[in-house]
Amino acid sequence: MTVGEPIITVNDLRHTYLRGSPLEVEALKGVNLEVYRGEALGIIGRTGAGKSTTVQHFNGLIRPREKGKVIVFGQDMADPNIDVRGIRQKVGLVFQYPEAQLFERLVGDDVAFGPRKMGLSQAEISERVRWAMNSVGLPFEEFKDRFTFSLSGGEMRKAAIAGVLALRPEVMVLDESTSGLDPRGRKDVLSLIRKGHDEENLTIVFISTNMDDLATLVDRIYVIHDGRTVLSGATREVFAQPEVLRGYGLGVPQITEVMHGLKGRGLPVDERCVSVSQAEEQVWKILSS
Amino acid sequence: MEDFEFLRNVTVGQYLPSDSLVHRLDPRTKITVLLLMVSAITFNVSYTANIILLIVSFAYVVLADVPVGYILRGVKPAIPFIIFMSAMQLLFYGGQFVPPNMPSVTLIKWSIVHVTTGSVQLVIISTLRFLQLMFLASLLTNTTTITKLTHGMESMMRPLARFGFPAHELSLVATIALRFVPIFGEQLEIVMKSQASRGAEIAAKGKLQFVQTARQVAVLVVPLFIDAFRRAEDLILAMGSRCYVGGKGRSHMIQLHFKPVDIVAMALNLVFAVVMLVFRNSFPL
Repeated sequence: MTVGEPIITVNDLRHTYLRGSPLEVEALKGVNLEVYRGEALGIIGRTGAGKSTTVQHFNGLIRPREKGKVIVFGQDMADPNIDVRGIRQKVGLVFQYPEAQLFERLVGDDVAFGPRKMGLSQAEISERVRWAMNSVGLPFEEFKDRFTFSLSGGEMRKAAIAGVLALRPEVMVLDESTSGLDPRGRKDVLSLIRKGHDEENLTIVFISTNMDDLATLVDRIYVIHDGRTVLSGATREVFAQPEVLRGYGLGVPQITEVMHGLKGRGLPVDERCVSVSQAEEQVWKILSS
Repeated sequence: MEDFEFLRNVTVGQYLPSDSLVHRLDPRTKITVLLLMVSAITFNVSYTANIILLIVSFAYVVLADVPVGYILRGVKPAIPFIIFMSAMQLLFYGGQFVPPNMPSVTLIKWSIVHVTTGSVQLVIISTLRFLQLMFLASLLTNTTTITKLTHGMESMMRPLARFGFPAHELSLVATIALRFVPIFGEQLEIVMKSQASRGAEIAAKGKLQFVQTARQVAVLVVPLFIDAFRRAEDLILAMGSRCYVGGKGRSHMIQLHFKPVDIVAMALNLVFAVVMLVFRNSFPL
């Protein structure tokens, strides 16, 4: 997957919150990563490790002011004169509780907020809203005139994601956007991200602390610990090192844990499975031999 | 370039943990000292007195181990207003302010513009006063946790409860209000970032862009209000489930006790404030 030029490059990035005050916090101390076109990338790390701070550099919400370089679609984000709105249209960012951004009375209007701000024609706007709402599973005709604040929590979440999707970004960054949802809602959101990735060739950057979600969605993972990128690689390779991950306060998907357990008890399985179907295959192989 | 991190510039109300002499004082002492100093500052208009008061305020900041630069950063957003008000006072207020210690001499008189030594003094004294009050008010919140501050206020108002004054309720309201300020600050930052992410122009381009259309504000205010109501409901539920019934017969985990240092601090400040008030018109300049 990692072919061609990266569309986002982060090089030795540092960031300090409340800089120059007695309360300053050094959030990033050297983050290095690359995002390639069309890939599904995961970023994991404990709370406060610097994941959110890192991705907020991707669309210019935070600009590099200290050491370090962030290049997004060929633009140096430290340059104050770049077209930051253009970047934000290409890099869609969904926050942890995105329903906090809803403000319009009607769902359709809220989803249309981004496209309207882009100055598109009315026809183009409704086309985008229809597409975005349908892709998140809120059928346009049924939901466009519903009151935003009468939606259920899961529906609000989807409406908020549709609001970012309607910008038709090339990269979709999701910052723990599945947390706080019930299992059904989480599954829905995950599958709509997966669909966007498979069908629309959307580049995905997915931050999560749920290893099982990550395993089903992403091809490649970066581990951020204490403001630094400490580990990266294909999902299978990263999850093949449970001891290292545990050292960073993280874990591996449950199924990977099972396979490690089986291996530990002397069964000749490949423990690098990250999905149930891969594990099933391994177990079948032993049972049939 | 937009900057969403405005908590960086809000310094009043931010507690800075330390173990300085001022931090260890009883909150009631600090409130009393603030009131005494404020009355001294309010009634003194001479240069000498205000310089003495500024030095004393500055000394308190140093004693409290709070960086002066940190407090001054909180002044920064107000600078355009201060300059505007100073200019108005300087140019048009000459005829109205007569300093008690010196005669007022006209410097420039042209049309409605009237600059006198009195209006020059007014501008300089106003600026000095602003700094003194900023130092002291900021210091109180920088060195006192919100819990201690409100316990202090409640305990000072308690004698009034005999006359039906709602001391406990008022201090509870103050606690909740103060506690919610940083929460809303953070929430506002999140909402601003979310809306900017989908194309809204949020952060003002120029420093003097005060006027925003109602539409642009709604993008931030509606989500912020919904969040506020949600948090308020959560808080009510939490208070209810802990059987909160209000002030009557309620004991406190934090018991305030005056220490010798508190008595000394209050006594010294009382003497200082009285001297400054009694001799306010006797300073040479």
